Amino acid sequence: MKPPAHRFIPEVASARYEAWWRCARVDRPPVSLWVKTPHPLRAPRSTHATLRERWLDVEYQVDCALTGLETNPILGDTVPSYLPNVGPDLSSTLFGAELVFGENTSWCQHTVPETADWERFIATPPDFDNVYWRTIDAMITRAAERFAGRYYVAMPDLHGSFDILAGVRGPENVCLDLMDEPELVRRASLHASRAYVEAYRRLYQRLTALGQPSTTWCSYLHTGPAYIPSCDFWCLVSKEIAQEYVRPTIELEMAPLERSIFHLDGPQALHHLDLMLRLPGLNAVQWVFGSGHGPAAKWIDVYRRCLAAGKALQILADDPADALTVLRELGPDGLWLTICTPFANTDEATDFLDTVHRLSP
Amino acid sequence: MPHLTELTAAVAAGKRTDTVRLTQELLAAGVAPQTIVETGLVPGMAIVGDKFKRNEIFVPEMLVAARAMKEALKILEPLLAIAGIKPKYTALIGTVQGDLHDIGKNLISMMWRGANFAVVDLGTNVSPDKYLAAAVEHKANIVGLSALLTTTMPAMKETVRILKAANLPDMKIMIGGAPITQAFADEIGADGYAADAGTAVDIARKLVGAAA
Repeated sequence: MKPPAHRFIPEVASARYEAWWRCARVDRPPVSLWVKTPHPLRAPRSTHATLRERWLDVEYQVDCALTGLETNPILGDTVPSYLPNVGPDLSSTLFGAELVFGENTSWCQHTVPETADWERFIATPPDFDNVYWRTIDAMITRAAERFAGRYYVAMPDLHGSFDILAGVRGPENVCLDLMDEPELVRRASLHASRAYVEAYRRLYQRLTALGQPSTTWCSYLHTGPAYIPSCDFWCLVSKEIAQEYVRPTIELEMAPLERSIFHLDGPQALHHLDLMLRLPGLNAVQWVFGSGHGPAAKWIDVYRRCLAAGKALQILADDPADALTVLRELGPDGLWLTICTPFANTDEATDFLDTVHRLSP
Repeated sequence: MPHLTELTAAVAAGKRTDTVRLTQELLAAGVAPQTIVETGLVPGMAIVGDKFKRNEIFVPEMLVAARAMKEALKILEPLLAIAGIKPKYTALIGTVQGDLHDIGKNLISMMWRGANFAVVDLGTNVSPDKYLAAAVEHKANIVGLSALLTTTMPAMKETVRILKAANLPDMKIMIGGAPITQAFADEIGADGYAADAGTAVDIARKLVGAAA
């Protein structure tokens, strides 16, 4: 067994990420990776009567996070953090959406039944006192207490304007409303964006007060406000609709950020690559080609277009070989390598990190 | 009397009011409801499917076209029922167990209806047993399985296994969804894979032997 070389060192990792945001480099690119745990994970036992109870049980969720963080070797620039989480529709709960919980994710019930109901939506201020936001707040508090500075508490998953609209009305209805009442949808989308910005500011202040840097489920580091703008909804619409209606909401949502990495999800989202690359102030791109559409090396042309536009990249590689292929093709500047398949042991992981070093002259 | 091609153009452009008006005018002029469906409406949705495949239109434009056709069918279906005319093929569709996403399923459902299939929508989170029972009940020619989550792909595999084991005559299985590929379809023994809602019509027609 080799000594624990390449263990996570906050200051070193932070410096690598700060350089990466600028498409620059300290030594090698940041690398996120995971190692299979040497012993079976002893996850806390759930005695909850329902999935909802389990998802909303703060102590249980923080217990699970701690078990994972304490069991796994933390190497490279893998940010050891906990994501307070109730699923991807947290933002929609600001407008009364109730969540339905599954084993691995949650969904929200629609609260805008008719097109005319957008007026009511626009007149409704976001509700930060609903059960889901109170739970997220409690998760942040409890995690910070129990972690005692050993691990980070991450910014929860916030979806932006048109994903909020899709959450409360259903994506098909939003599509139809865009055709029938586009100005009404525009007003609703900007209202949702302002709520998103308020949500981000509140959470950012909350986490900063607890001494946390910016990180989230996309585990970069930054000392100021940073986040991952996204829009799943825009996969459904034309370039013209995206430009006219979606772009202003994304720009509004990026306004408070010092650093941003766009979550471009799925082959259909590539349709909007050029529009995304023109977003003012965007630093980086996370291209999620999705299951069945890999490996990352297949998407070199997309990566080249992003780099040519001055954007840094998070490469979501299937495995180490895939990551090294991309690194050899593109060079180390502007890359953050994330290896999605866990390494068999720490020796293999450290060997990989050594190789990345060698390939980063 | 308006020409059927005007109706086709109105559907393809998603012009609901024009589609309804033209349908009523064609009926008043004595055009048979079945002719209006097969020669006016279905070609309109075929144009929509082709444009969708070529990324010339997107989901909102497809939805308004399907809505226009649906309005016309509200007028025509009672007349077709009286005449005892039913679509030749029946398709079931649902999102597999554990998955509550429905937009992909709904788009394909619309396009199949637009191609004059009778469509039974089983909804989301559909168990293998529910698929099988519905396939038997409706004598389905096509069973469509949708999944958006990689975590529900095993449920798709299990559903295909159970449907195949039933050996139902004339039933073909189609799958689709964001994480689904032709390779996965081959691996689990599905008869067809559709990458998008436009292609889903071509594949379904091919599987039932109705390809143009």
